[in-house]
Amino acid sequence: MQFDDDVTHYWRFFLSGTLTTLWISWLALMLGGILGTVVAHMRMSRIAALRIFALGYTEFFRSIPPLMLFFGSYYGISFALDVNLNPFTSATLALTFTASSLMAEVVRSGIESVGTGQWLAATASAMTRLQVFRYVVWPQALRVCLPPATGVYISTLKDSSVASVIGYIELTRSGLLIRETTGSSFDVFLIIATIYFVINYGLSLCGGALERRFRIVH
Amino acid sequence: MSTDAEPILRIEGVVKKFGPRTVLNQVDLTVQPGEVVVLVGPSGTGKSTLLRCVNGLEEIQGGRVLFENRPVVANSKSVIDVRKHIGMIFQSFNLYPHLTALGNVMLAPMKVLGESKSVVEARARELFRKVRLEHRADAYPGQLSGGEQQRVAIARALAMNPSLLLFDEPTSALDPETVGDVLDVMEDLAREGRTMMVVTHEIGFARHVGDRIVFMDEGRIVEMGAPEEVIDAPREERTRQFFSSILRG
Amino acid sequence: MYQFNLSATKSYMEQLPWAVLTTLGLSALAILLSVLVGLVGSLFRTSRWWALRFLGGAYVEVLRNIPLLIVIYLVYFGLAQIGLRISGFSSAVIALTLNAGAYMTEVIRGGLAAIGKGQFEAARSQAMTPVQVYRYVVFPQVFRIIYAPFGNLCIGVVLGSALASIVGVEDVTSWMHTVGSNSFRYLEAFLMAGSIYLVMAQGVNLLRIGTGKYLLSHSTSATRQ
Repeated sequence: MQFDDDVTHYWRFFLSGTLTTLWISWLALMLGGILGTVVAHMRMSRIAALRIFALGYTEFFRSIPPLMLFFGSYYGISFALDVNLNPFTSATLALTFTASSLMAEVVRSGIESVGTGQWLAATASAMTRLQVFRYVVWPQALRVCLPPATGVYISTLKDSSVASVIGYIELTRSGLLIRETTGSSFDVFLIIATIYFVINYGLSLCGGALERRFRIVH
Repeated sequence: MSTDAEPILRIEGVVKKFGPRTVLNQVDLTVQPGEVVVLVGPSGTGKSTLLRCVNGLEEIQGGRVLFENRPVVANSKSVIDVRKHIGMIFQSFNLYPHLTALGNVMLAPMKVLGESKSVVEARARELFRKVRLEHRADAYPGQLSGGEQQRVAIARALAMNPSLLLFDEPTSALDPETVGDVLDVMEDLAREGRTMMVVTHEIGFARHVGDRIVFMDEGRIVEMGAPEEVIDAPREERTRQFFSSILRG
Repeated sequence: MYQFNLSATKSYMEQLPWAVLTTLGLSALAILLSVLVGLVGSLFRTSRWWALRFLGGAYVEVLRNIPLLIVIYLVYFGLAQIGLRISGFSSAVIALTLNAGAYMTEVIRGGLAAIGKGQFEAARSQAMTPVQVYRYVVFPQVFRIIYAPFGNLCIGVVLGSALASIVGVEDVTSWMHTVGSNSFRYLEAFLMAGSIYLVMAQGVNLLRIGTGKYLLSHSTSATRQ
């Protein structure tokens, strides 16, 4: 087993791959969070058309394999619009849409967790609907959303590995490249698996800690 | 009740701990065939735990339990054989929700004792007659009231032809109106000469049906004897305190 | 602009049914096997022995935190390195099973926990052996409790099966990619493949809802005063 060979010579590639993975997943989480928040508000809108669209949106992205989204945003868009998207853009698009459908659910639950009593008190003091959201609902909802948002980040980190298929050089792709050079598959993938595990398991523990902390406050 | 026959159950020096807490502290008790022993006392003093040591649902840390002269050892292969002759009725009924009342009663005799379906079904229907639930045999537990469920549970225990019946607070989870139905069935069983150990707060039942009352407190048997003695003229101060506070309310 | 033209994909249509069957077959196999894995896993996690509990817990945590693609690569390339050359299809089945098995373990464990100690005690007090307890009392009840998360898990397996195309399995996704690349009608191929996955996923969803309605009509709650 050429363990030392892999780690010593290629640790820089593992590191950059890891950082790339963390970065693109974070980007997708942020963008997806914004998009998801919009969808969540559409879902709770008084206009039926918006509600139905939002429902269809989330159901669609939960019924399509992530791989299809990556292929679609890389090859599909390139063929259809005759543009050449680079892997980074395609990967970000695909991950953002996936994350947004998950975040839509998270944000919706977060907002709904703020009891109607709060709404009544706020509107009774003559706040507009927007003001109620801004000063009363969103601050509270944000705290509730943090633990499940951690879960979405973990999910996005895992999905980002599929970006390797369209050539984006994140952790998985780095591993594949190293594998081609050294010829040892098992060791490389074991290292990569360990990296993913440590990151995601650590995050899940943080998420659990956050959840416990907020449970006491509420 | 013959006092010179072999006791059906011997509890000798039983010690039971939950972690650092000692729940049963050197308990000695024998039960004769045909006897109705009623265990009373404040909540959480080990009465239910003692019952559960009898059929091996709880492990003991000291002493021994002998049922029909066979040792009861929890989590052993032999305890399964012992359980074929002991029936238990729980406070929360614990009927199997995915089976009809009839199914509940027939399951163990068929699968555990290996008896044929026709024999078991005939016995089951007879038992439903005995607990006065003939027309509810095909209902699911979810469709039955608490008192009905408990009577089905009694029938389920009887279906195995046990030589000892254990009742763990059988009426504590019931509406006051249905308590009487279940107690009536239990009284019928007592009159038939069945050996019963009953943990209950129903002092009226204890006095009326019990052959022997056992008062337990803090994991020990404080006093035991005939109902008139223990309930009406207790010797121990704790016994007196308990019954006077109960009967006052 | 882009000329939408579905007829361009006609020549590839005869391969599509096989692709769909491959996806369904792969998914069904993985689901079945993962149920077995989940049963074993949940028994491990609720065992009296610390070592089994730890093994079960480790399995669940590891497989839930590693991307499915990495598991597939580990099985496909990793085993080949040791000398075990297995097909893409088999690797995908194994990887999907291992992955889904971890989630299945948790689902079944949750179901077992929801059943309540009383059921175990009643069954044991009637002299049932542990096997009998599980067979006649526990497992018949578990499905009623977990059918909803189980349904979601099945959808997850169907969608996850798409990754099998990366190791050469000719499923719906690989069909789409082949057709799209060769005919330059990627968008059309994407829409068709997407619709198929949508139908499959929503089909399972409808099954799940239907199961719920059916079970509700059976009125099986245990306690009612």
